[in-house]
Amino acid sequence: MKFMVRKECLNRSRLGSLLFDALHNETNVKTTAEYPTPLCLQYTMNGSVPHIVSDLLDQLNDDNSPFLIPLPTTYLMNESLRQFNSAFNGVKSGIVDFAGLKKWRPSIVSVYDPLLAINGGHNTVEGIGVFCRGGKQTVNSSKLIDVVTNFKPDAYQAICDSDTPSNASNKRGLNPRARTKSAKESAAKTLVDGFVIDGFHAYGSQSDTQLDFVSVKPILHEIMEILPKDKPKILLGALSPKLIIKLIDSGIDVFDSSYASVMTEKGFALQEVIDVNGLKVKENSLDLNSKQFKEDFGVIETHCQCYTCVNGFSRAYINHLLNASEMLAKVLLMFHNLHTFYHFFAQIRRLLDEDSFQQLLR
Amino acid sequence: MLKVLTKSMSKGLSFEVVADCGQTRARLSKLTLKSLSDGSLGRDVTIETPMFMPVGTNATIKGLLPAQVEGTGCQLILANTYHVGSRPGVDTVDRAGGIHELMRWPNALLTDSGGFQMVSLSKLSEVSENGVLFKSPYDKDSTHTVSDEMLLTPEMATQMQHKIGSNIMMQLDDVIKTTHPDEQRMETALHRSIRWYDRCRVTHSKAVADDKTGRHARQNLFPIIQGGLNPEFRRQSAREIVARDPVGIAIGGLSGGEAKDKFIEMVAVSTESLPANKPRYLMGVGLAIDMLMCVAFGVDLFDCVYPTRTARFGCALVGYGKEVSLRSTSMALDFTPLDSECDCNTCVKYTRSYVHHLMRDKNTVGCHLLSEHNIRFQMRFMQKIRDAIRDGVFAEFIADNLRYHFGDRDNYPQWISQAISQLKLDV
Repeated sequence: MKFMVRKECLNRSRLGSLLFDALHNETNVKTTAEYPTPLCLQYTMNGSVPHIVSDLLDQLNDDNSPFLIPLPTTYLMNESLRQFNSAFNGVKSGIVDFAGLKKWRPSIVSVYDPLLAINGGHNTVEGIGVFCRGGKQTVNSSKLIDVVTNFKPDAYQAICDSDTPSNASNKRGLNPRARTKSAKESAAKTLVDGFVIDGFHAYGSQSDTQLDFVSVKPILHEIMEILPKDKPKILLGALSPKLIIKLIDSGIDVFDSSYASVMTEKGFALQEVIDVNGLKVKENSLDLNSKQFKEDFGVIETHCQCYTCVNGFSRAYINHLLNASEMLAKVLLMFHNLHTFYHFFAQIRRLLDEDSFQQLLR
Repeated sequence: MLKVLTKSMSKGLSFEVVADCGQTRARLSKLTLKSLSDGSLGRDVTIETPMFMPVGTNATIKGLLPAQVEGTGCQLILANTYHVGSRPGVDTVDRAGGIHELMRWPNALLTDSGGFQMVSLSKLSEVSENGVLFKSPYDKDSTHTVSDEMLLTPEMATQMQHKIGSNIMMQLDDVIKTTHPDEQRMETALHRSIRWYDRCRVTHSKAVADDKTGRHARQNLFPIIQGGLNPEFRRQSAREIVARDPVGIAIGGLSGGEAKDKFIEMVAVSTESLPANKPRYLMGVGLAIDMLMCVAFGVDLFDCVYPTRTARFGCALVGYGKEVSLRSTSMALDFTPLDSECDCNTCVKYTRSYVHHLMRDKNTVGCHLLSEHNIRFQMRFMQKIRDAIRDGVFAEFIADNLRYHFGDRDNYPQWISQAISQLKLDV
């Protein structure tokens, strides 16, 4: 994985490219897949985009973005993967093949799952606590290397202790001295291809409210001074659009789509985030569980190009499906919410390119 | 090119038999259902029968997009009037432009009358000549068409299906459990069902006459043969129904826990004197071996929750209908597809091992993958049946299936032996 800064914008925001070696899906010719940053990784659970069978990935409009493969929901597949690779002897191998995902989309393994709140106190010198079905697995560096060997991701996050809830003692979390020490040590590792900025929230669906940007900002800025500019900075978690904008302004290049999942699980439909007319950032959503939508036969948003809206699935129908606890509700909401979220990122990149991004911070 | 042997037509439905098995009562036919939609969504659908209809209880085939359902080869599904009537309610469906518009299903759809669910789901149901009085399990403070305590009459059941806008509607019948011991009650039920069919017909005709759009005229009302496990009752029911020249004929009151040999005997009796040029629909049957034998007795259409329900429990249908449990630990290292002969998206892209992991983690993607596969399984199985009839080898196909399920003749269950003997099949 490589990274190039394409354009430095105001404050610490920038446009860049994340580059991966890829094999063209049909011709099998080696090529380079390029993903513009700020970039949104496609969050997966057990190796699948939540609620979406791989056959439908083409309909997601997610720019074929790299997959985020969190460890907690995939660690228990490790042995199966080892034998899968052996059984297919190179014809098929790794998590992307095993999970039936598209072959030429890169994958990045993370240690934590954006949607699983860290169960505090389980990271010790033996390794970190990875909570899978059936309980805690202790994962150290050599176990992670084993996973990486079997999963064959294009990038992976090193083992790290990110158990730093806001009420943690000074030894963790918002301790500036510890942060800069970590940043300096990380910066010195020239063999890494990027940096995951971790520990400002403890993951889970409440991440957005946990991350107090006012407190985080000065620390983040100090770290950014220390870390090399030509390496991508990744901050994972279910973060709201407004927070993402502030983090981009502070120099973060890569995020993930788990926020869209959080909204879907609640039965909410995201509405268009950036109002291009006023260059305003909206965080509006429709609670489609609500009775008010029972006979609202319009689509979620009239000009939306997502699969759900284009095919005429109405607010009333999704309302009915949610009330009947039908799985299709979340399938339809995922299409819409992911599309809206990725469209938001595309708009961000365009605004950065046009030097209008700063207006969003007003 | 097979010539048409016999056919029937109405404004909304046409049916042509194109091949007879010769050794059994099985036949290969084409069923065309006209679109009801005024909008751009609907289309006329022609399907081949024998055919299986998956059940989309709540105006959705669990977890699957309409395009995915269609992708399995399915163009006719079933929705339950009782559930749809409860939520979102038939008036909401009507205001949406009908169920096709609401659920974005452009192909054909059949609704049941709501009668069966009332008897099986409701806390209390009392039948009178007027209709069925019951208490709904749905909560009290919702504004549903089907409310807490309600009398469902044949007229209402028909009107509800008009509002839902299904291509095929079922009469409200007097459904009682086949295991009901009272023969008298069974006899009452069959005659009452016929009277209720007449009432449904009147309601339907009136709606057709009053309807300027012509939409109701394209909806097709099927009567249901009843009679429990009594052959004479069944014959009476069939006689009365055939005399009324319906557009299609359903067989009900079976597949409710009765003994298999009684079941197949009643299917045989129910179809024996039906006109060849009308489609026959056996309600609530969907196991491959059951459908196979019922096709041999002349059934054209089936519906059942079984394939989609068993998918949600983690089972894939393979071969000629055996179940494979994906949850079993041995699946973790099984890198073959769910069914090695299947061409569905699940079998092409995924392994049993991966689906196993999804099911163990209760990931809904696992349910979707299994549902899609199981529906495709049903479609492929029915295709095999049709191909066998077309090629004149249906009896051999039955033999293959029996060998697959039971091994050799000594192991055949009684109902199979009985059926073979009645059909005079040499298998």
